[in-house]
Amino acid sequence: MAKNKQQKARAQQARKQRRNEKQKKKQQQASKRVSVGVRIKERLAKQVPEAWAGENLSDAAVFDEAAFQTLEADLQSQVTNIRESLQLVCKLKGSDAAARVAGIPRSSPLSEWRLLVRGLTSWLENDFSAAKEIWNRLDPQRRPGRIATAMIAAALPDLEDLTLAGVRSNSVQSNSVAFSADQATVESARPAESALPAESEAAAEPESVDASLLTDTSLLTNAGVKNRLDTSLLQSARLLRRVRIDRVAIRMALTGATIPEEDSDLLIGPAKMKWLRSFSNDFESTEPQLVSALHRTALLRAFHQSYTDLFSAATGFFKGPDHDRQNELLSFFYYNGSDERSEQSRHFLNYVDMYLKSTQRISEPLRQALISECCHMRAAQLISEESERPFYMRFDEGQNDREIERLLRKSIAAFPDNRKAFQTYTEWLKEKLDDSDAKAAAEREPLIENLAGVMKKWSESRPDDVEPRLWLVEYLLENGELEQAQPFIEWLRVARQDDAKIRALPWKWQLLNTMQLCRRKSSLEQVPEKLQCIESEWPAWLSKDWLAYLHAAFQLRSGNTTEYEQQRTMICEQKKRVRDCPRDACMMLAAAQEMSVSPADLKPLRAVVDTAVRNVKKISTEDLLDLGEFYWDLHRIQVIYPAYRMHGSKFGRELKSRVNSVAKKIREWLPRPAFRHSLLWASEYRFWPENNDSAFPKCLELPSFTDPLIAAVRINSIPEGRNSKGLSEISRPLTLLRNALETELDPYYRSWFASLVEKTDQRLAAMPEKMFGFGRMVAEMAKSMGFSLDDLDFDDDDDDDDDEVCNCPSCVAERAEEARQRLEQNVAEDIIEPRF
Amino acid sequence: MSDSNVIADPHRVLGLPQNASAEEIRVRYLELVKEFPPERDADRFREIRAAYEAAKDPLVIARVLLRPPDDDPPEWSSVIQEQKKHAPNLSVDFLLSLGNRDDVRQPNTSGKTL
Repeated sequence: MAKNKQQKARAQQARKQRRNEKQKKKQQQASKRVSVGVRIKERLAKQVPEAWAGENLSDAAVFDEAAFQTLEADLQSQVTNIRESLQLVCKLKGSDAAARVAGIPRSSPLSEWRLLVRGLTSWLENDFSAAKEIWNRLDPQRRPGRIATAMIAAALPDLEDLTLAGVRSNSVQSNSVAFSADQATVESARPAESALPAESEAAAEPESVDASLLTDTSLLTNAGVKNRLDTSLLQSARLLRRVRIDRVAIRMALTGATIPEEDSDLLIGPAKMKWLRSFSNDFESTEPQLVSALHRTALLRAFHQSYTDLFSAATGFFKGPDHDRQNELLSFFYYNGSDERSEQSRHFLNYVDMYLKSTQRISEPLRQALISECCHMRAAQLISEESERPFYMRFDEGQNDREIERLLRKSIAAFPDNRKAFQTYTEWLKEKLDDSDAKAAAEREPLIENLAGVMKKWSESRPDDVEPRLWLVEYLLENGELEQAQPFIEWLRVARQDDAKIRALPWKWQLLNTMQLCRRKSSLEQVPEKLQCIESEWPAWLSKDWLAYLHAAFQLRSGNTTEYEQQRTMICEQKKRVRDCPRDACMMLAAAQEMSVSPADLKPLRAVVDTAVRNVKKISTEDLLDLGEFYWDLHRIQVIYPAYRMHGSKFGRELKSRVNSVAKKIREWLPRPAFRHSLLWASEYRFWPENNDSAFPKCLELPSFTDPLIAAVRINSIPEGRNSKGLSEISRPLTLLRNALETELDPYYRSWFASLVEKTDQRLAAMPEKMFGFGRMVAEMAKSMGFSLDDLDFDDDDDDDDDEVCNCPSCVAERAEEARQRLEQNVAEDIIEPRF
Repeated sequence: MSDSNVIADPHRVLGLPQNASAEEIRVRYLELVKEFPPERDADRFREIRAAYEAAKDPLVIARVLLRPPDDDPPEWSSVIQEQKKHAPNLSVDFLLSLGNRDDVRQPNTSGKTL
């Protein structure tokens, strides 16, 4: 038994030794091939143009500065063009190169270079026959003709078999570099078949040179090409063939790529890195694209394995692409999602603040765009992380906010055309405002001012964007800055005539302007005319009910109490409304406050409303709904009178309880316009939730409702912010609303539905997959204690790679899109077969 | 070349360096369109057009460049095979040296020939 064990161990040892030897042999073979690369590199380094005794001076001037200086001015100019043209042709810009030498006259001693350039363009595109046709006219004794001969010879199928004895020697003396040793090694690396297209005449080539063919020096026949060759041309042709046609580098790369890794789970190990460094050193000048692609491959393979030391070595050894030469961005992605946050931040800062700040390898606009997008991407990531953290873990919220703000400001400054950065910035500020609903005005004001600043910058940076202008108009009108708002209103009117609310902006401006006129007694005389104007432009989708109260308020403001009383009586008669009912009282108070009625006259109006608030429980449901309808109109035009803030929510909360109380008869109530409009008003406040719980009435969640207005109520009730819980429950109302875009007749609702759908789509696209409620809390706590929910192993089947979920903006958006499609699919099924 | 590759590296499609200016991009695009009109090579024209549109908007390129690497590591062999399509560099010095003769001597600047 023991003997068996020993035998087994010995056999295993022997196998391991054999494997190691095999591996070593392979590595040695690979390094031997690299030595071919070294020799080619050395040979290429020696390849510099040198004039020969008696060479045409103008030909030599193309590369020899001393010869250039002796030429006359016009020839110098032609030589300069030839130099530039050769540079261009080597960069594969054939048409530019040809244009550069087109001006050289046929009579010029340099006209041969023009032909050379033309043929070069064809040769570099592997059109050897076209090149031959063009070059055949060149003098074989001059440099352009000799270059052409070497290039055509490089493509001969039997080039490697040619010997100096077999070709006609034109050389005066042979001081050639010993190439045979190189040749032997290079040949060993070559495949059996040639990469060149075989020509039919090559097959028919006689073994010995026919004397009659010796006089043939045409480039159009292989024999003619061979007759032109001398020692130097043959060597040049062979070198050109190895480098350009046989692509020794490609073959060596393919061999090098087979070097076995040190371990089976390695994607790239130290041996492969060592080989690649050596390979790069040899071929970087001739095969920069290949070397760069191999570097990228090495980096990505190191990226995909979990050995930090190997990744670090790879990023140190190999250069990244132009936009990330030092691999800082790749390193940022490598550490993204890991616990090494300091490394992640360090690489991000290195990339943005050091590399991108100074690199000249990319164009200036791209550099700025990258800075902008990097900062935007990082800010979005921080915002997402922040919103996913439970409230009890937000110790450093202020610090994070400052960092987010710094990044977003930097993003916008670097590339002011970055619309997404503006959107992220303004959404984030709006979320902060939304969160601070209950906060003091002192906390809200700086946020609003900041938001206004960003919106202003956005409107300046992107003159075609509607969103910032729309927000600014509302902001400026609310603050009474009518003059500043006017250009935005005019712009919006011209730009977006399809939106009913935007079309009504000039009317709203007139309304607010009229209210401002009421502030001064001296301007009161202009008001009646203005009120007439307002009446004529009153939007069709808005109830004209309030206009009569505006007239009454104007009478009160002017001190015409009799006319005021007559107006109030007339309103009640016409509308069949009880004087001082909640709607009547609030409409009057609203009009009076906006029309700057004196405090003394306001007092009794306030008192009526205050009494109603005190007795809110006693108000009939019909009266409350009537009031809700008026408040919805005020919200639609965004004209909220100051006292509303004192009592609006009190009426609203009572209304909510009434809605819940009629739950059983909801189908009877729903068709009533006042009920529907009151619900819309309530949705503006998300039904006044308490303690962050959803306050949306359950009775309105019945899946059988197909009313788009109720769908709008549902969607409008979802809190602002991309991570809102309600977003996951809106598939059905969203589809209803989307369908209603085509059928809705009311222009206001049609526009409003469209904007709700658009906004919700954007929010859905930004919605990360996440848990809510207790599950989330447990997960967060587990994470804070250093382990994940998966570690707890609640469910054996659920062992997927959730911990690998990437939270970069593009991945988040992709997941959101998938989520949206899933939701839509569910809804489609739901609509076909409603669930009751 | 797929559309995403064109957008990822429009400069390569246009044959321009990464730091090409907006004017250089426009001039090069016009040249290429003249060289490859849609009636001659519709696919190539589409590729050039897509590359031009992408190269014009630095934000589009930036967003592509800032994407995290793909889920799968690239294979050596496929990368090398892909590189076969791209010709190696040819330096002007190497090109001119192809015409060298063995009897090298410094040029005589006094006459028309050396």
